[in-house]
Amino acid sequence: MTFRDFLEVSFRNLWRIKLRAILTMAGVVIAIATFVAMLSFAAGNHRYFTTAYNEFGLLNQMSVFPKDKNANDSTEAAVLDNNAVRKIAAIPGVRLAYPYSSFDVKASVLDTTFTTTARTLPLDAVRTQLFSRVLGGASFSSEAAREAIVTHEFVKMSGAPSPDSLVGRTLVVSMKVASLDSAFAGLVGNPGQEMQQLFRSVRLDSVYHPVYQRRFMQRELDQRLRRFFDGLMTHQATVADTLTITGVAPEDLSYRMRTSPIVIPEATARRLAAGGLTVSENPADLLAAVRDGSLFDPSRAYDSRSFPRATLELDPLTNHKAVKDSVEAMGYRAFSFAEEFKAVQRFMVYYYLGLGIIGAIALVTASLGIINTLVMSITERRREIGILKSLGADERDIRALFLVESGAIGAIGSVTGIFIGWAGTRIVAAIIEAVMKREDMPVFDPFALPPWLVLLAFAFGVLVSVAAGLYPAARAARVDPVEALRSE
Amino acid sequence: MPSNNSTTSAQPTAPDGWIHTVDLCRYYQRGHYEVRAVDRITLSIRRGEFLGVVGASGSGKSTLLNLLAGLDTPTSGHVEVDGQRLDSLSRRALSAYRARKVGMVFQSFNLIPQHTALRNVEMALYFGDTRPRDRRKRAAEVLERLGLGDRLEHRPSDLSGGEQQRVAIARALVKEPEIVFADEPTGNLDQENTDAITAILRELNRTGLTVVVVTHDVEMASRIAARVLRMHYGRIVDGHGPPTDGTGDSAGDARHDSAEARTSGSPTDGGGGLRGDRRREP
Repeated sequence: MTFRDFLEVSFRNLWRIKLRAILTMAGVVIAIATFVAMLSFAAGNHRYFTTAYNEFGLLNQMSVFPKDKNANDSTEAAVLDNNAVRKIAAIPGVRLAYPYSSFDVKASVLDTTFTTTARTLPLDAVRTQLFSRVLGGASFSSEAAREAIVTHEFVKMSGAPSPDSLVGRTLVVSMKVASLDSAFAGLVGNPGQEMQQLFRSVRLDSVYHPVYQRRFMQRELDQRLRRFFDGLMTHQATVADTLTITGVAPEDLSYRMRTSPIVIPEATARRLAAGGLTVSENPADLLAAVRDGSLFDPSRAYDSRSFPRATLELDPLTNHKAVKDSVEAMGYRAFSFAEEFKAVQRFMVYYYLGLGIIGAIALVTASLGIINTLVMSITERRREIGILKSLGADERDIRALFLVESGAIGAIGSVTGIFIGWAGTRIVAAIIEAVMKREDMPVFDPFALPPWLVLLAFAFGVLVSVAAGLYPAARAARVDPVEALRSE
Repeated sequence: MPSNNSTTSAQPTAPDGWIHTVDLCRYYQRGHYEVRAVDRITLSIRRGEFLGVVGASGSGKSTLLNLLAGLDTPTSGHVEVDGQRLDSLSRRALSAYRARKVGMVFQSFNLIPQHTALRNVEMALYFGDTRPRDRRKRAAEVLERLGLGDRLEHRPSDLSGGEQQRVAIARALVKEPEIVFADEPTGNLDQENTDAITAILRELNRTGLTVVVVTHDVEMASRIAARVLRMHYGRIVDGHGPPTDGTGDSAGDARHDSAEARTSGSPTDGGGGLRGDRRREP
């Protein structure tokens, strides 16, 4: 018998028992549809991660953070400032290092003023794969250019009719800065009134008592210092810079990679800072600034700022571990996206396995239906088997006939299941998209149907079905032709 | 032509038989009893011979036919076909023997009811060497030869008993076998169809085909077969007619141990089923 003969005979038999065959196939269809939908969800998530990593060039990136205070760690935590970033940039394999530097600004554009954040980026960083993608290829003409690039989030905040309408527009960026004048004004306050209150509070009967003198002086010093810092923090002046918007990010990628709505060159931030003292609200930074005197020197203060993190752009063939070890030896914590990607890949294997097992359980359950159908078929076709054997069919022919039949159930069920599974995911994806759009959330497709999944589902469905047919096929092959021909 | 109605004793085996059985036994176990369906039969069939085997229901003639066709396996003894012992063949080779050399015709036709006449016949070619594209043509040719040219696409249920049996004969002939085993081929047919089927079988034999017909109809067997063997309780109790290969030469015959032969009872004495003398306590 040729394979075509087997197919023909099998399909004819399935056609003969069409209702039972359809019901048996329905089990396979549901199982494969579940299998496809589950793995499609996993594949969609996998694609999302992989695309993000590849699209943003994250596999060549590393983030550096100041080390947390940890009693178990013998390495001393170091401050992540400009000086540290420069040293890290000198590590072999590091192509570029730049700090995360952002500050609150007031932005005025198209008669709209709103508070947002701006981030400084050196020109080299803007041209990296990450920011080329996030900012849609827009860049500054020079490090000192009075230019800004804005994101879609900024477009929404500004109320601009379209992203393009902002290109070439003037953007006024202003920020609060402190000055020593305001600090001293806070310190001195109203001299007349201050003196009056001072004399009122002095207890003349204790004025010569040393303990009283010490406490008095301490209290006054505390108050003056508090006023000095109050003046520094609250009586701040506004400095502004006028920039031209040279680029608008063409698509909203905020759900995949967050960045400040305004990106400005490093020089612009420095210029703004020079207008006054940029005072950190972190008391530790404030004290450090007072201690090293940078508090009173705006340009020095700008350079001595510490950052919550820095980003390293590595050469493609660099050993990430070597760079990470060097960074950690300098007293920082390093995070490699490549290592995270490996962890994500490992997780995805378990994710696929977990979801695949659920689908497999459904398919194994469906295979019981195939066994049942074929065993019933043997009873019904006992005479036919006898006839075939009398015509010269051997056990292998009969076994193959039943295996082709179970394979045919699996193949038809798998193809239909793949289609229904795919259609199901499309319906769910459409619902998710509608909900996301209604909630003004960025839309993405959480499902994917890569060719390997189609092939896997088909092969899995057919293999499990053929495996389910093994027992009935062996039973059919053992049918005694004499007994079978005698049976009515 | 065989000499009718002259019962003769079984004669010694001719060593030149084309099909040859030696002490062929087929016993079944039924509960505590052993049924000797075929009991120590030694016979020879010459190429081109028309052999009739008669006997009552349950005398073992169908079992003998199944053993000769390689459908059943002997408990002891063996069947030789063209010098090749069937028990030495692998299952695959035995299937090939059935597929290429043997054509079988059954009392109940054994056609597959869902298939058309053409397809039933065509299926016999599935297991031989015929190229797939030639099968349909050959099947149609044989059916037309048997007068069923206008019944090719009819299902068995749409055919008369005689037509169904002709389809079954066509199925046996389409693979051009060397021997046809017919098990009660006219058992379910009226006289007219019986005559037609026996005419076909005789015609086939005349063309050189070896035919073995098993029937309970002694008259019919005597009329069409060159040699008739009578079976009783698994044994050949007598044979009549000159053993011939159709050319008049002395040929094969049947033999059994006369000392053990149970010669009592006629082929139509209704001695079928389990009888006391066929049972052996374990």
